[in-house]
Amino acid sequence: MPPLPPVPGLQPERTLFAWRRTVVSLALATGLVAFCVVRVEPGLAVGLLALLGVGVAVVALVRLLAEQHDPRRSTEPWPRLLHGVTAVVALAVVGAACAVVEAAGP
Amino acid sequence: MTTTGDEPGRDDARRPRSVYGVGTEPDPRVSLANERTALAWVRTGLGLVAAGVALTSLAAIADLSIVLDLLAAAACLAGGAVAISALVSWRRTERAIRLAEPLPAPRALPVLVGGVAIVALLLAVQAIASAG
Repeated sequence: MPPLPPVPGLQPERTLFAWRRTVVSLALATGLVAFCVVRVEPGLAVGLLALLGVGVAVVALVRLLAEQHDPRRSTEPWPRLLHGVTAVVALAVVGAACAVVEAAGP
Repeated sequence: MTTTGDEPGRDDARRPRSVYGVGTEPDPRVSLANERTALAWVRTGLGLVAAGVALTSLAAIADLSIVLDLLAAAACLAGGAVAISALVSWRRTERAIRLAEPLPAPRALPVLVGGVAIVALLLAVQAIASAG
């Protein structure tokens, strides 16, 4: 975190830990969804779209980490929140697609 | 309070301008609390996505009804919606803080509680139906 004004009780580490929890959760969920895509074995078109979705999530996660370590950007949460939400939405769409493919059955 | 773009110490490069271009610099403790709340919502959305993926995997492994797959798809999409709502809510709250206005009510909370209750009810009905 960058130097913040000396305010009593600021506790910037709480926000830092919240970001770390979010990043770890995102990484785990990305792995879970990628595993689901492999397990479901969708058709070529759906499979490629699903991998594209997982790829979007991974790129958003990497950009989130990069923004977090950029001292010029670390005081503004918006870009990092945007990358985090992009990753979650990409995983949500891929997860829903997996569930629909499972429901459709072989 | 109004826009004060030439205020000393104002970092004009911060995004989004619709938030940082209005009002005055708030107590950083409040801004950080708003950021942590948004992160908690993002993690809630992520939890819904993970639950949906786990549910569809379980349904496939145990050869359960396709109703569970449809519930799983709904949970995943709801997770994405909760994450988007976190972003919108952060922006609305930060603006209100900067403008010293009353904080907006958490709109996603009743929807989330209602959604989780409905999913729990449907899962219970499905469990009873498959046991009978």
